Amino acid sequence: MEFKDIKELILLVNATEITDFEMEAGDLRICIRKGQGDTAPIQVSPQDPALAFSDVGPASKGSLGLEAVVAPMVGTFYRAPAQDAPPFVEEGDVVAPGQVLFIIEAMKMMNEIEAEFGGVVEKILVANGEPVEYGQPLMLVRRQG
Amino acid sequence: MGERVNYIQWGKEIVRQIEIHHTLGSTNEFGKTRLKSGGMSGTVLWALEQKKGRGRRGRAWVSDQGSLTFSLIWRCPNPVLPSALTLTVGLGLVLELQQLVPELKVKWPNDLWIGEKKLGGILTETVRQAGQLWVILGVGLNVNSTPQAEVSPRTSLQEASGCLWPRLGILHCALKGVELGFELADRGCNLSALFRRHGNFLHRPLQVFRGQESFVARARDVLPDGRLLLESARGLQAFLPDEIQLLLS
Repeated sequence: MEFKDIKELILLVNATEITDFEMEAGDLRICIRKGQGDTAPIQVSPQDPALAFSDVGPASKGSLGLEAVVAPMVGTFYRAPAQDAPPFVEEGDVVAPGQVLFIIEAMKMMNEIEAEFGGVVEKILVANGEPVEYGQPLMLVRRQG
Repeated sequence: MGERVNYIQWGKEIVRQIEIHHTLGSTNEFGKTRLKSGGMSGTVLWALEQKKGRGRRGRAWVSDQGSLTFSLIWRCPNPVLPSALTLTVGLGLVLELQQLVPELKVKWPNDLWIGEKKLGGILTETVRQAGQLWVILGVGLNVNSTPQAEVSPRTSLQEASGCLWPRLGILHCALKGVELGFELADRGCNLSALFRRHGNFLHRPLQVFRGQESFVARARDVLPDGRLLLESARGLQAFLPDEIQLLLS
């Protein structure tokens, strides 16, 4: 299974009423849980940062160990602080807790979203400048440490 | 840069103190640095001259010694900001500054316009610092000069009123407006009624931008969550644009 397949899977599950999903394919096991409702109103500031991360892989040994960073609000996703600035992070980057991963803009408020834990950015799921919905997976981060 | 030249005590609610600086790059960037080094919530950083002012998405906000540029750094006591804050601060500023220029209006979400020209704008950023949610609220207003350097035509208080204004007096007025905006967000307000009365964008052609898409629409109303009720070739829809532009006649 490739990352694009995992991304599609996450988006598919996210678009349904399914709150708990597990599958196994060979030695790969994927577990997706939606802990929060996805019909929240617009928030122009991040929710509790702990909610910005959705476990898409059990942390147990031998699992994928990936966690999805999801949108804590409705808005527009930006990978860089300005149009001509380099992105905050690229795929493959090692990020530290507190490091800014991206910005979500809502009503001209720029919300910096930080990493809650250290890890490797394995996949960026959304293009720069795209509108995002509450709870939408935006990045896959492999937790380290 | 960054040398503080004076200091004013203010109130005890939102704004608590004002720091006056000769020159700063961007007051918002300076605000971010300050809060990360232990800046006090409620501090206003006023730059008598701002050299590298920023607007939305890093656009340049050009100002000079006739401009008023400041940023408020404020720690939110709750994990989530009142959702309408960015709108109500624009409305609060307009309500206060209308005492000087009655024809002042607000363009969604929070730009200040007089007639078909832009007077000023607000850029709000949120940052987490040590688990706390902080807001950096930057305001830029043309007071006694009209630097022309961006897409929208611009104006100043001096141009609109015919007289020169002391910037300290305008700062005082603007801070009262900012505090009114916080109060409106905190206690709740009828956004639709306020924008119907003080907005300049309803029921006229707009270019609407969101992400990579852009289309022409008319805004019928502002919904309680701040979204616009848009009428376009797509029909009637509640929509959250990144930005709208007035299609000037």
